[in-house]
Amino acid sequence: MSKVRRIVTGFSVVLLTAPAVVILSMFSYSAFYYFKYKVFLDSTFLAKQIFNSQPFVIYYAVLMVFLLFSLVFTIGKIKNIGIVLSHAAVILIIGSSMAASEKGHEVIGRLFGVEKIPTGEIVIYKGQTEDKVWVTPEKQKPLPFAIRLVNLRIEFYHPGVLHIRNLEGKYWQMPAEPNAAQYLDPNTGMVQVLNVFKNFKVKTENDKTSAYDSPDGGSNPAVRISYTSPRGAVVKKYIYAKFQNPVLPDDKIYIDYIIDVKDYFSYIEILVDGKVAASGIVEVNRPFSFGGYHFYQKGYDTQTENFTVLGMVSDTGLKPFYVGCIGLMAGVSWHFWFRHLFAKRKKAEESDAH
Amino acid sequence: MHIKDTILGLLIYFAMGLYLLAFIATLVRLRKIGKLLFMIGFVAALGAWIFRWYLVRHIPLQNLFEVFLFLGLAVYPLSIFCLRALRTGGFAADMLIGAIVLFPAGFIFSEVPMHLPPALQSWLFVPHVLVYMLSYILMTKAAFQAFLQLDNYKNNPAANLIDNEEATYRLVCAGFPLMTAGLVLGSIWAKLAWGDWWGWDPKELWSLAGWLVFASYFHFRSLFGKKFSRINSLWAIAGFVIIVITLLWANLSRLFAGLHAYA
Repeated sequence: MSKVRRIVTGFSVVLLTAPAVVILSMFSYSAFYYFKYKVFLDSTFLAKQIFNSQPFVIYYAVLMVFLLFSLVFTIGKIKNIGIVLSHAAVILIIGSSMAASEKGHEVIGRLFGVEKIPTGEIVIYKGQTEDKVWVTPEKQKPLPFAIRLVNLRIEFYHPGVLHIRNLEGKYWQMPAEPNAAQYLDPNTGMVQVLNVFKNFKVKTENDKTSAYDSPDGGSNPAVRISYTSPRGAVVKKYIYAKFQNPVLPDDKIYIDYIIDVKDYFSYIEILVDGKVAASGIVEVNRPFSFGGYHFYQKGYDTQTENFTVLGMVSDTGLKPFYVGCIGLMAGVSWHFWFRHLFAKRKKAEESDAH
Repeated sequence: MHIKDTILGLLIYFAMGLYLLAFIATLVRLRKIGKLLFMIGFVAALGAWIFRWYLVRHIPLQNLFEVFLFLGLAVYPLSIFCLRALRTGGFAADMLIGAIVLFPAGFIFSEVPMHLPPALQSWLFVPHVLVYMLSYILMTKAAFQAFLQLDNYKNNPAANLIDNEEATYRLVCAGFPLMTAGLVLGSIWAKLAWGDWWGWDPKELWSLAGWLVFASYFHFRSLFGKKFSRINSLWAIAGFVIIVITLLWANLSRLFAGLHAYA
């Protein structure tokens, strides 16, 4: 190994270890802060501040230089293909991340005159159209198109589940299905499900109130349960999925009605000059792309299911990032695995020939 | 800590018991019996994992209970692979590692089934977790070899195994591409699910720290070879410590609340 190459490799050890030491120090500081002030620091926020700070921008630049150096030393030799590929891939990944950042968008805008919004959030009500994006919690920017939320569909896991806890911390779980019963323990009693409502409402007729499952819009899942205490007293209660449920009297057990969301979909249309230019579905893990942006399913109105929250991210730097990912995986696995397998096979063939 | 009086729990305890018996048998030089018990333990752990799959109706790698159950079954095939393909030792230690990783599944983590949240319903879920877990086992084996190297332990020449420093290196070489794949697949998945391939979440940070430590291990070793073999070993052990933090502490401590909280 040449002297210069040794120096570059030696510095690489320091460059690779430095962020790991920073991460360790950051969490050690968080732990110290907690033990001293009993307050948890937001480590994600802290990490963003540290790794996007000026010294780290310099670090990334130095790292890029060293990665380029490593390419100079290793390129041209067949046995180094994996090293070249993985180091070039890391350059692509860091470069594409820099391009995708806010500063990267600013620089690209100044150099090439391409004005793009790096990231933002769009809140759209059912049937409504939105042509602005929230780039910060206080600031909106206009979009070069408008988005209409045609429909919002939410799928739940059925049946829901009742989570039951007593004051001793004992825990039971039962399906929220009509007639389902759960014997707790001799000191806690029994719970039975009487009715299940998808959209619980109450009506009054002839001075008599009664609960019913409303076919109208909205969602208010609830169950009516019967709780039998160890002393034989029976209490009937409604347990709601979206509201705080009381502690059942005397025996003090807590019951929560949990209906997990399976998936949610926003059916959207993109309007350019008032005309539909594209339409599609935004789902978690399946973003929708249009006009150099990707739209992600970020959230929805959990109470009335009337609006959706879409994340909007510019696609700047995305292709080089994916190429970098593939290059890194290919380079590392070639260098550490496949080249040895090929060498082994070649050696075996050579010894067979002899 | 609680005992699971279910079929699943019993299968886990059975596998744990067999792994421990296999370890004891190997220690008292009943190697063939040890191997057989290790294999039967693996079948029990595999049975538990498949039964869990049947119960939750998705590949069980969602939470720490399922992940540790998987680690308990993956130890055996990886141990055989390392012994035959890499010629690394530590076969008896793997039996103990198997019992240790099954312990949290058997006694600590809850087996209450959980629905897959929307973010986890991705084709990347299984490969991302799977490659990480396989890499963690290989890195654990590497750390064990590093400990032996620091302790100046010498392998039995009749066993035809490579020395402990070289074994550490080979195991890290075997695990590092899997670790890289875990990091890359996780980033691609985060991009598809949340719109950003890097969220500065504590689990992400610790997994990056682990990857960086092993990457710098390779650079250090390519620079000095076996000249500072004890430092090489300490480097591998440092990587293992970060893996433990990534796998356990980052999930369990409120100090590290983040995007991976559901795990």
